[in-house]
Amino acid sequence: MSISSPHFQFVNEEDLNTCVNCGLCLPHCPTYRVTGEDIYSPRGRINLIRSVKHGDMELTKEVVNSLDTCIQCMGCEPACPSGVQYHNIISPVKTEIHQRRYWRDIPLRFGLYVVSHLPLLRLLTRIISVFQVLKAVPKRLQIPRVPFRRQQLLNYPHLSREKEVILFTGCVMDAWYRNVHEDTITLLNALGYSVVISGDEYGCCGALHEHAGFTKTAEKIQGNIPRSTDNATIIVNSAGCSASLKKTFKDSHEVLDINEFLYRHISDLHKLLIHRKEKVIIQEPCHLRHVQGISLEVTELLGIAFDVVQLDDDGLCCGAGGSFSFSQPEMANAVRGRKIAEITRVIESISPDSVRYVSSANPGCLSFLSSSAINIEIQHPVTLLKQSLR
Amino acid sequence: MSGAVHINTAELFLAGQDGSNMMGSPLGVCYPTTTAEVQNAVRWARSKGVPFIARGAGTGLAGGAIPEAGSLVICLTKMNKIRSIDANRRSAWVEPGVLNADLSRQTSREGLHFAPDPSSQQSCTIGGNVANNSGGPHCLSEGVTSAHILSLEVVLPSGETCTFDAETSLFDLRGAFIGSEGMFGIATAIEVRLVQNPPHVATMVVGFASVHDGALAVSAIIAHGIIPSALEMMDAPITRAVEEYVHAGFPLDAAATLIVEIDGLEYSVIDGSRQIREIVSLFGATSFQVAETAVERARIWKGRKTAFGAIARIQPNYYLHDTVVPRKKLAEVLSQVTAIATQEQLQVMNVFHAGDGNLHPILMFDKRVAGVMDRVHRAGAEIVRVSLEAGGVLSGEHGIGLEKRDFMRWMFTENDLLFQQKLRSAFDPDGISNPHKVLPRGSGCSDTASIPPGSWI
Amino acid sequence: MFKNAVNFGGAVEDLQKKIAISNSINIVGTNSTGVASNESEDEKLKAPAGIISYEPDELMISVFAGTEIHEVNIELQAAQQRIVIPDWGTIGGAVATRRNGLRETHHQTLPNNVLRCTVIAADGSLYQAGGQVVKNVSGFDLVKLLVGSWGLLGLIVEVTMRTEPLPQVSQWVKSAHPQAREQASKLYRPAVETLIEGVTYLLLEGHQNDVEQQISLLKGFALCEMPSLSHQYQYQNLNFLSQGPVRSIERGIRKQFDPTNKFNKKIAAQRNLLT
Repeated sequence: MSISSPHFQFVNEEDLNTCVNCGLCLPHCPTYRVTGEDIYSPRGRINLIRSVKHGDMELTKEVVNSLDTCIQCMGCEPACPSGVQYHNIISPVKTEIHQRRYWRDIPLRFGLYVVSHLPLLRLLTRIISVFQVLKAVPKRLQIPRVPFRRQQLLNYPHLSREKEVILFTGCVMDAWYRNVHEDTITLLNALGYSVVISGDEYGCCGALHEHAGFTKTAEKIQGNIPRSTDNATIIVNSAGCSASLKKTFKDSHEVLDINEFLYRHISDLHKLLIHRKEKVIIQEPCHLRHVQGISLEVTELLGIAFDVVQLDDDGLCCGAGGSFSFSQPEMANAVRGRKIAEITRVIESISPDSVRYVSSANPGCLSFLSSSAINIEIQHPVTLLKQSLR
Repeated sequence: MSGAVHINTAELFLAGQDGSNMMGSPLGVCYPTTTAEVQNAVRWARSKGVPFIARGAGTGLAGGAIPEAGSLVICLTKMNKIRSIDANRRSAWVEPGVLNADLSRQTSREGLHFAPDPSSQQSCTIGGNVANNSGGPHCLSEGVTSAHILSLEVVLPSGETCTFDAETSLFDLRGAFIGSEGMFGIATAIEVRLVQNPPHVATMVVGFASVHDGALAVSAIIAHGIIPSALEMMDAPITRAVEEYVHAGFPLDAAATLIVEIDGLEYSVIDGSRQIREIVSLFGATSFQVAETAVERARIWKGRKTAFGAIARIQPNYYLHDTVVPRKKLAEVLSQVTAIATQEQLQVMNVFHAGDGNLHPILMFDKRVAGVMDRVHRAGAEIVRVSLEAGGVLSGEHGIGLEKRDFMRWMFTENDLLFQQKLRSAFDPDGISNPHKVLPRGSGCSDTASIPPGSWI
Repeated sequence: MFKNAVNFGGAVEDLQKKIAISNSINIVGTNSTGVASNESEDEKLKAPAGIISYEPDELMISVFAGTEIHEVNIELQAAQQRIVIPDWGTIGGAVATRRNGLRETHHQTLPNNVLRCTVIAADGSLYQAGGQVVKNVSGFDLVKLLVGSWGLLGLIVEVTMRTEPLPQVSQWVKSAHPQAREQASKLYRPAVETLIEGVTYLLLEGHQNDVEQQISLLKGFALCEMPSLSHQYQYQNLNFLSQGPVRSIERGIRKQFDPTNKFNKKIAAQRNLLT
């Protein structure tokens, strides 16, 4: 009954049909939470995509804005009783929208170019660090304090081939959070594993590009990642990257998020760690909780060394969303504001200053939360666990 | 931003829909953040002679939030603050856009919760609960929304504001307003009663070899003088659909599954569970499990409450019905419902508040199949007919909206309806607040214009 | 075809005829409220009495509104059930005056227990509100409006009420201590918690062991009988005048339901609701 439209033809009709308009996704969508407007909800976006695809609605600027403001946190997917595969719907739409407006996305393209070229990323990191000392970096860029010097990673000799793992070092993680890599290696060594550093040839995994809708670039990057002949398990300490690399290496290597890996050794960790009688709040990265379904594992791990305080918000996104905070700063800040308000509410419901740390297992969330006005130490869970070694 | 009326096609299109399959075409949508802004919106609509309609999360299933063509949608989701919680008095003042589940979450530290727990409680707003006098599994012992609202601050269709409570009027205007589906004005602040969380809870999952056995056990439990806090039934197809989603351990071989929950003080729970166990085994229970932990209990309720969404795993479209029958007629009406579905060649599933006799038959279909909508409509009407014949009523908790409006005559005489219309006229003499819902056309009713296009599925 | 309409017999029909032609009617049961009119031109009318149907298994009883509550209770006690209205006057009187008794604070107050009312309107016609199931409301909630309407909206002739099983144990306790209310807040949902002339009264109901355990949590409370109340205690809302838009709505309702000021003129005048 509807005329054909030039848009969104790559979206599968069956995926659209699965949505029954019940609205149970609404509170699980961070952008609906902060706006209360249907146009910023998964149900609304699916309705708009369907109408545009069927030619019942023009691709107006409001529709584009609705789709641009989707963080793709996938919080709606586990909440959906109908099992709508929202990522199948939104991904091709994001790709199509970016293809249609090449020039407007230049700053975003530049940023993504930088992260996929390690020497450039390292150079810029140094420049930024100098500017940060001079207090000359505009706040709206939301860049956390970055190091000038690159720490050397400790590299222990191989103990045995049996217990060897590859640590995927990545791009932003490697340039800004090398200390987390160091802590990861220390923990893995403590568990008796020898660690091979993936090194610069495994730079960017393409997750950021894919997430932002630059599918072709992402595919190219993913294609260029060398397939090691070594079949050791690949460990990743960035939730966004572990989600992506699981797909990239699905035929050749076992890829595990560091939390997943440590959870397999939880009984050993009980022996290795001390309980610190400090409270920690866990901010769950969307790519860990919603995409990989890893949630209780982190709670149990940190529970060995800390009193874990749960946020009661169903793992709603913090607003970072890969490059989302860069391309949609207004919405991202609103979403982060809600997350910080929730963190503050939970802390105050116990007692002010009761909670020492917020933990997050993703560099995007770490840096986005750190660059806010929040007055609490934000750390990767690996760092917190390493500090708790006996 | 909040004062503005949005008129772009995308937002109007979305404001024209809710959880039902109907569609309206509003003139504009606005998002007030204060009572004064709601008042401005109502006055503006009044001055232009435009009808207005309040909207919450848009999860209603009877089309109560489908706007009349050319009306102003006043969306209250940005009015989402909990203004105050009084733990001593066990009450709280909330704005209408506060989500039902959020309120109980925020009061859990005080050991209190808001009792109405409709299946959509994660998403639905307290304002919407007031408009529809919502129920939920636990209203079997707690009562529906009306029993949990102390006072209401309302913007009347005249544009004036006032408060309805137990002290300021002779007539119970508060009670009359609750369940009026947005036709008496807009509640802009709501004082809710909070109840103590039960110290002991036992949640039992009981399997039966037939729906008939299960239904008889339901009547027997209540007749025995036990009022469980919730008493729900699911038939085999829906049990399988939700089990796939939540893995709560529902019995997959049972033809009917009862979820029986009993709460309160220690001995009443122990004694009650023992009696329930005896009764269900007398009625041929094939399995009996008790949830041991809060996590298991949460999983059972998640399964029950997301049941209707899980249907999309079987068929792309569904029509969820809502009628009430006397408990003793449950078994009989359920078999009639099955016969109706067979007659119209539709799949049907049942998941419902058995303790209240509140049926929720779900007809499943694929609307792309030619002629299927006629069969769905016919089956829906038949279900209403058999429920009323059994001595029941049209709606348990979803409201009348557009969906059941024209069935009102099946239950009420013209004179009964006239007096409902009189009540509406006292609140909204000009009929501009959500017109053409609830009361059927031509019942001496002032709302006489046409219905929104595409209404009733 | 499935309508609520029930044949209530000759007594109701006679009342309908009388109301249709009368100009001024005073509805009286046993005048337990003491507010019956003394105006000589008022025709005093009373709803018929008698139990229409009682189904213990459905926890529901339907009675003519003129039935006295103690008669209903006798019937209910035989089936180990009760209704939550204090034991005086008629059912119709209790409904019309919203006589909750001491259970005011608990959710199961009278309005939530009235499922259906049949009413004779000012023109002598019959209308029904609610339905004979637990979730009784379809459409607007006229039942809530009628409960506590003081006969200003018509003569209630039939009431269907929810009944409840008698608890295993019912025990009143009291304390005059200033901190008594704080003590009470430790309990889990006492059936009644009320303050009468500086004394806190609690009613604890349920399983014997639970009631004993709850009492053991209280300090300085003594077991007692149900406190006796002056009837007047119940009618605080009668001497109160609504203001502004609330009054406009109340007047609007009265005008819609009783355009010629036929019913209970004295009460309407007292409340400034004459139209």
